[in-house]
Amino acid sequence: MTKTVILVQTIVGGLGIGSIYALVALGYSMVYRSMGLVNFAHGSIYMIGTYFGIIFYKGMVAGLHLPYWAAFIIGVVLTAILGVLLERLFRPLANLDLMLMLLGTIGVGIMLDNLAIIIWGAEGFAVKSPLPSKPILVGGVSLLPQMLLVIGVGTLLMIGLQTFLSRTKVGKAMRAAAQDREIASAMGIPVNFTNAVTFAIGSGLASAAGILAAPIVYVNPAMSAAVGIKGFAAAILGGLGSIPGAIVGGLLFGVIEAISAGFISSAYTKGIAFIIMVLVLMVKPSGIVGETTVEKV
Amino acid sequence: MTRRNVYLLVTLLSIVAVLLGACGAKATPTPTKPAAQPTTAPAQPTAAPTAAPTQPPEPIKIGWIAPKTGTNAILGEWDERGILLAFEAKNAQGGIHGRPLVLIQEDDEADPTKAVALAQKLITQDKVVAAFACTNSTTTLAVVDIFKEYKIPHLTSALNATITQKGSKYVFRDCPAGPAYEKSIVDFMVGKGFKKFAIISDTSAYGKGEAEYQTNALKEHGLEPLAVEWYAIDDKDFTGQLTKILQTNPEVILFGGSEVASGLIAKQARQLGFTGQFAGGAAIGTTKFVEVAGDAAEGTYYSNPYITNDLNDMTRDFAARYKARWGDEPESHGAKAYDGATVLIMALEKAYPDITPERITEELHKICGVQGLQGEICYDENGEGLHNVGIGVVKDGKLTPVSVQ
Repeated sequence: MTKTVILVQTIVGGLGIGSIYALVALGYSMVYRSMGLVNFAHGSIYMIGTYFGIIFYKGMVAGLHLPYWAAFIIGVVLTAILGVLLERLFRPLANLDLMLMLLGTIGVGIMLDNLAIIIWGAEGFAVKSPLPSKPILVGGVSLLPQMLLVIGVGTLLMIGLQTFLSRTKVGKAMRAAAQDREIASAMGIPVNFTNAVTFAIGSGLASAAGILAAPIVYVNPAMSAAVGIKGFAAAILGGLGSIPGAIVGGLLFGVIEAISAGFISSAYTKGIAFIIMVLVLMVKPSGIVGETTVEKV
Repeated sequence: MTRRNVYLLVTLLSIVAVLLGACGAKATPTPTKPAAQPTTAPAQPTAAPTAAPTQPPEPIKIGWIAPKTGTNAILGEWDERGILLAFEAKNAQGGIHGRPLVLIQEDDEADPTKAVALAQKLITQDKVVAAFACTNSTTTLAVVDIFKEYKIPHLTSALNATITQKGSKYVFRDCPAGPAYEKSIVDFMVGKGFKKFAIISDTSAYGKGEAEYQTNALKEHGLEPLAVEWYAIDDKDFTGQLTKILQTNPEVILFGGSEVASGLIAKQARQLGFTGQFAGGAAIGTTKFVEVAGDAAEGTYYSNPYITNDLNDMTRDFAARYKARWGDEPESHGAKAYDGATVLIMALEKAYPDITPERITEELHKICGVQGLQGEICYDENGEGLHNVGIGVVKDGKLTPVSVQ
């Protein structure tokens, strides 16, 4: 393997896991934008969302073995509905001070984690990829079909989200409500409705990330913590509240992790990724593509 | 803040509190099955010797600290199953001279901070006379000094060699220590003619220890690992580490970490085009590793003190009872825990009627020549009782013995 092939291989791996972080980071940023709420239950929503899809694929519901794509859609829809319910639960928190907000969302996160343990057990399981496990070789770089699926579907979802926000009426209303809640409300935009849609989309994306990642990673209730914290770090890195920021932050975080594992020191991968995040924030506190007008937490 | 909001928040927090409480301590009084004992052989109606005492006998409280949630939850489950199988069988025979065994279970989530607090709780509040603590090296290393301070004997199934080198006479290992596993597998692989090894392990006390023992074992053959790579215990993507390892063109990748991560690594290494051998110690000879690695597990060599359920009458009987109780094939961790519970029960029997931590410790140290599932157990002054490890291979998705001890 030449040096370039190794570098490309490492970056491709980083982009795959980075797409997962990006999809999770989007949920943090969207909710923060529209409600001013940092939702620390988001990692748990990602985990529950993964289960919601995978249980249909693994035949854990009435022995039903649905195809992967069908399980994917069911999982995303169910998680979006959960998101709407959670929005209703969090609504009173949006106007409270930071401390209560943190406690409330962390509490719900713990609740969801424990719920998952009660329903599905703490042990967890591996998931078989619906695609062949044989890698595709392109110029010495091995591309895993499931990883390509993650990157492909992730990109589609992100483009879809951008289009939805900039082209549709509901999307525009969501952006307006995020910019100024009172004025948007005065202009006749049902702010509570747009918030619910925001939550539904954010949760749905987290679920999509989880179901896509499931055949690569291992599914158990403890998966919420690691991805939750990395997705949040990615959102901050890109600029909390910014949609392109979440995507850039997520992909970058994944690539930094992979490169530091492959080229610097694999023992301190996580530390290095977080140190780089802190350094970026010291130079540019609003994040890489963060809008300076957004109030920071 | 409106009044309604306050109510909502309070409700929310109470729900959380209740749920948190629900996953905390849980005492499992293992069923004693009183009257229903004589399932066969009704010829001798001598069951329940000198029954009807005026008051129920006081149970013997044994503590248990292991992960029931988190990435390592499976370790706790296996351990619990082995112990409960032995305890329930003993209780069905009337316990220790009529006193039933009760296992007080605590979940440490493999977190040393939690393990320390739980050890304190079990000793000072529940007043256990002995304990199973813990299943992970990091957590066991954290609690050794506490058990030593309170002079309570505890059995561990963790592998880090230094656990028994901290000067505590209260710690007993229910399996061989890490170096035995890694030396066996490295000797075996070198014996098969392999010379180019790479090591990948996690940064926990267990992972660091195993990688060190692997490196030492290689040194004895005059070999150096071509690469030693690390990851954090909850990592899921290993492309960076593996790409680095594959550059060195190893013939064998040695796993030093836990079953789930090693399974993922095997899978990802094959996908990155690695065609060589996989090998590893305790974590690799498990159904969990095979499940996670899938096809990639095929042909992986592992070392283990409990290599097969089909070794002798004792293991076959254990396997049958395990299957009947838990509906699952037993594996090495359950066997380790069962052996640990067996020697503890023997020590309790010998210590009777003086069931105190001090006496139990004394009796545990005297255990020697006892046939366990993993071979003959004979404790030395440090609490090491087993030393032999066999070799197995994953064949058609099944753990298959190659050589026994």
